[in-house]
Order: sequence, then structure tokens, then C-alpha cells
Amino acid sequence: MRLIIFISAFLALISCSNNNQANLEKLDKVYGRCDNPHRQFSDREYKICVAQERAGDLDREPVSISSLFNRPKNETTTQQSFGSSINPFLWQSSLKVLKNYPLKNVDSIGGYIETEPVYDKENLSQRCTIKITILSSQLISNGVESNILCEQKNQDIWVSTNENFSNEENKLSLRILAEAQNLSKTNLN
Amino acid sequence: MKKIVYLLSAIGAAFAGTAHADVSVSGSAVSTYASSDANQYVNTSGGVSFALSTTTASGMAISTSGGITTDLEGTAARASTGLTSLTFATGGATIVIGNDVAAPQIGNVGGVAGDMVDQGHQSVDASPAIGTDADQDGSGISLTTAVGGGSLTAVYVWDGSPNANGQGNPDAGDSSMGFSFSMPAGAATVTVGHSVSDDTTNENDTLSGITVAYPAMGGTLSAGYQQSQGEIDATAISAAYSMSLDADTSLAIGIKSSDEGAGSASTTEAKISRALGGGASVYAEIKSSSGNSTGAGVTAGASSTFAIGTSVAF
Repeated sequence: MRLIIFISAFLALISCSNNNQANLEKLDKVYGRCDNPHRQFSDREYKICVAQERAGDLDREPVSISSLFNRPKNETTTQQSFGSSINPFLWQSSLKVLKNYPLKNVDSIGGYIETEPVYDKENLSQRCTIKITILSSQLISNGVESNILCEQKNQDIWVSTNENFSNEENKLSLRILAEAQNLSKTNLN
Repeated sequence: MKKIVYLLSAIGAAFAGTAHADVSVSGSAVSTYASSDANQYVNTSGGVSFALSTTTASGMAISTSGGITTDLEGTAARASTGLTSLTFATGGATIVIGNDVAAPQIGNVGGVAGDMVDQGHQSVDASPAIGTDADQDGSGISLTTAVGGGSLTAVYVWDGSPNANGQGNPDAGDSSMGFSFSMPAGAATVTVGHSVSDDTTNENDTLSGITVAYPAMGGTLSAGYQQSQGEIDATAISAAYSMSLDADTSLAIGIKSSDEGAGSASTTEAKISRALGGGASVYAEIKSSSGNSTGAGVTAGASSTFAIGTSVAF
């Protein structure tokens, strides 16, 4: 009877819920992902999490075994038909990730994408620009580089803030790589 | 500026739900030297974890994990582990069913160091705990979901001691249930929790606690209070502070003071770690504890232990 009541309460709560993942990520910043009281880890997963936390590498993606056996059969041919020396999946995924932002510079030969400055509507004296560079003709983990440059308006002159956004840049690169991997699998099928 | 960068990095989160059938592997290894009075320990251990996941046509992610471990500094020796629970994740909730479910234990924030500083360290007996099994985990079900601006986790463990085959019996008479809820309160985050446990000898043992975390001085200051009633009547207050000294170095300090009847004990832990890149880091940890000589308090072992080591995440 206790189990039935519990499951009924579960179903009622689920119907009222949203943004579960967003809340979990907010609590990760307070308690740390490994000690977030709302995440369940096995002992082994917890130790791996602690090791990643010590190394400042919580965004490290696990190695996908499935992808090792699903490499594109003729990646070289695909690159040649694309007409440039950059990986086409990284290029297409970069454009897809930045699709909601107006683009200022797009160089498909050199593998460079730059967005128009993004402004904070509540403070027009601040703006940031995203720059994506495709570094490789292969779909590899270091084949894309992301840069976020932010500026502050100072007496009508835009001055770089020189802030370090390595964490956000790393997240952008990881999402481009994840999307590129999905595109490569779709291309296989 | 933070707001713009948050919006820009959020475009990556839009793809966070992308999932497909996949088997992935990760792992970690540590090598540690620990010293406690006359005893010294050198340990190298680690393990791998295989994560198996898939996504249904409706977008629900289902996953499980298993691994091979040689955690000589912890409770698990060389063993294959996991593959005893399934996790179902949607946009609104995460449900775990299986043998790795634990009732929430909120309110203890002072334990910041790892397992190696417990090697040869005296046992602190005055501490809140729920019944004779201080770790209420076993076969059960848990739900984590968002409620308003907070997160709620509700857990029901129907068998705290699954049989040798890993099978849980809902009629075993050894069950626990509890909840924890976290919500923002201004700049702080408040988490409350309550668990109730029944076993064959004791009924309605409870463990309650509250934690408040507040950003301060460039880091996070946490305070906690915990209380257990039933077979073990004890209270504990704890506090911790963690911060990043620079982009690669982090520091944490924690203290805990507990009372159980005539016994009392206090523990202080600290750790510092520095990232070396490539998933590697070096760290140093220390633990010191004391208690009164009557009642429970502390028994045997050294009162201060120190550990240094290196860990790698793969």
C-alpha cells in the first residue's frame, strides 16, 4: 500500500514539473556536481566525478565505444567533394549551433565563423562576440576552437574586458563536437 | 557581462538533450600516501565505469552503468559493480529504480576530505545516524523533479538488505523513505531533508537535517544541522567553506561537532587540490578529530591523519 501511494505521488509531481535539468545544474554550482544531494551516483561514478572535479574537468565527455565502430567509411571523399580542408561535419554543426545569431564573417575555405556582437538588452554598454575556428579536416576532439570576446563601452569606445571565458568556450566546443558526431552518424545511415 | 555569456553558453544546453543508443566508458585512478601517527599507507587504485544509454521515440533517456573497481581505500575491494539499477530521465524528472537507491541524509557538510584520511583514523561514534544501518540504501525507487524554483527528491527503499542475488523484497520489513528539497532563498540555497526507517527491531527511526549554502568571499559557505531520533538520539552541527584560489587550485575546509547522549566528538577536515591538465590533479588532505572519554565519542586509531596523492580522470 505504501508503495502504491508513493508511486501515485510520483506521477502527480511529474505532471507539475519542468526545468528539472536546469535546477540540477544550478545546484551543481552550489554543492558541486559530485555532492549535489539531488543526483544519485554509484560508488564508482562518485569516485570518477571526484577525480574530474579535482582536475577541473567536469565537462569531460566519456569515450563513446559505439562511435569507434561507426566511423565514416569514406570520410576523405566527403572532404574532397566539400572543396576545402576543413571537416564538413564540424563546419555544419558550428553553423547549426550558431543558427540563432546573425553572422558577421563566414569563411568556409578557412573554417572561420564570427557572429555579430550580442548585446545585453538591459545594459547596452556590454557586448560579446563568438568566434569559431575549424582546425582539422578530421572529426577529432581538438578539431574546433571557440572564443568568446566581450567588450565594455567606455566613453563611446568599445574596450575589451580581457575576461577569461574558458569554461563557456569549452562547453561551446563540446556541443559542436556532439552535434558533429550526430551528423556523421546520420550521414552514415 | 556574465548574463550575456550565460546566454551564449546556453545555446550549447539546447543540444544537451540529444541522446541516442550509446555505450561509453570513463574511469579514474588515484595514488595516495596517508600517514596516521605510527601507521603509513600507500595505495594505488581506481576503476572504469561503462555507461549504457538509449533514447525512446518520445525522447525519454534510459541509462544504466556498471564498472570494474579496485577501491582499496574504500569499502569495495576488487569487484565488478553496478548494472543493478535503471535511470529514466525526461525533461521534467529523473527516476531511478534498482539497488543503488539511498534515502536522503541532509545536514552534514563538514566531511570535505576523501577516504584515505580515514585509514588508521579513530572512529567517531557520536554522530546522528538512522538506526543500526547508518547508510539507508538498498532496493527501491527515487524521483527527482523540479517543483517551482526548487528541486525535490523523494525516495522509497523497500528493502535495505537485498539478498545475495541482489533481489529486493518489498515485504522484507526493512524499509526506509525520505525526501529532500532544495530551493533558493535570496542569494542562499536551502536544503531540507527527512528520512524514516523501519527494520525488524526498530520502528520509525528518523534522521532530519537542514543545510544552508551562501556565496561569500569568492567561495561558498555552508552550514548544516542534523538530528536523529529512535535507536540513536544524536545531533550535529557542521560548517564548510570552499573556494577556488585560481583557475586550477581549489580549497575546502569543514568542521563538525556532534553529541550523542554522554558522548561528543568534533572533526576538522581540509583539502587542497591543483589541476595539472588532461584530467590529472594533485591533492593533499588532512583530518583531525577529538571526543570526550566517557560515553561514545571516539575510539581507537589516531586523532590526526594526513594524505597526499595524485588522481587522474580518464
